[in-house]
Amino acid sequence: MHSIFKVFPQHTTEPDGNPLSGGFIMITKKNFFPTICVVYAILVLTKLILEAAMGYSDTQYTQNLLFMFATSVAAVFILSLHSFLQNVPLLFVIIGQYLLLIALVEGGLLLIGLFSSVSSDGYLEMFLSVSIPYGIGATIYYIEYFRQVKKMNALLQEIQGRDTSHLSE
Amino acid sequence: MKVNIYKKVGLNENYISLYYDKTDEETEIAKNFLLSCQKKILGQDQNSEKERFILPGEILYLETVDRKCFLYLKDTEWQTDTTLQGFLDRFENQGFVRISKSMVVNIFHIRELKAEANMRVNVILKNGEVLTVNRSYRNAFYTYLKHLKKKED
Repeated sequence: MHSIFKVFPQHTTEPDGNPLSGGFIMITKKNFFPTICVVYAILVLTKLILEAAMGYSDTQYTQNLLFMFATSVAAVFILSLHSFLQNVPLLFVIIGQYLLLIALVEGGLLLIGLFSSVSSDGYLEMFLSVSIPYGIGATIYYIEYFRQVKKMNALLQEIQGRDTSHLSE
Repeated sequence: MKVNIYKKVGLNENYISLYYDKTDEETEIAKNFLLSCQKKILGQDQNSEKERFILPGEILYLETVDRKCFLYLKDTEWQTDTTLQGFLDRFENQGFVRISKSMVVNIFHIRELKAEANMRVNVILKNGEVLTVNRSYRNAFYTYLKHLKKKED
């Protein structure tokens, strides 16, 4: 029955036993720092484009960029903790990681405020800078999850050679 | 261990027999090698200690509990000496994929996958049993199905 699969070189796990990543990027030891770089580059680029469009001049430019780098490191580190939270419902993980990230970022800002000046809108701006991308990312992840399961069902039925119409309801 | 190899003309099917009194390391290696050639797996009933060869297609899923590996068939369960990774090395191309650190499922016995609101994927087997795909293994599961489909095409 399964003779068509005589040669199948693909494995579903890495040599170290970790599962392979598929459509999503799973943060692992291997891609931890590259992920930070990508996240940082996206944030800085977005900031620069927005400022160019709005004609906004930031007096604490270097400090802001460094703080964004620290935020990127914190965000990637917190998101990478997913592997330790497999038994916790994902909604709690998403909310918990968000709260932890917000606490770290706002706490960091508070710490910086002890040594230099932070603008009155700084806390709100940082809150929005973290919340908006996080919210967008979580929404995309949630939508992609349902889409992926639907695709997996279709693939499964195709492999088994059965009708899929009853699963698309 | 003495090894005899004979050529016999007119056989319907080639066969290998292994005779032993006590199982020593050498015999165990030879037995496992021969079984791997046969593409069957040896299962042992926990209560009666009865042994039986099991075809991979019969297995619904495998689970490791307390370092022991169990094969779950339609109505029975059997213990085996192999590990999940050892089993996958031999039979991954026959529809077996890992859904958690301790569980491997035969996709040919899956009725459907259900997405739960808490973002867990439940695997509903044809016999009604429900297993859960660990979040870390979901993408690997998806990748496996895509490769299998590509192979089929």
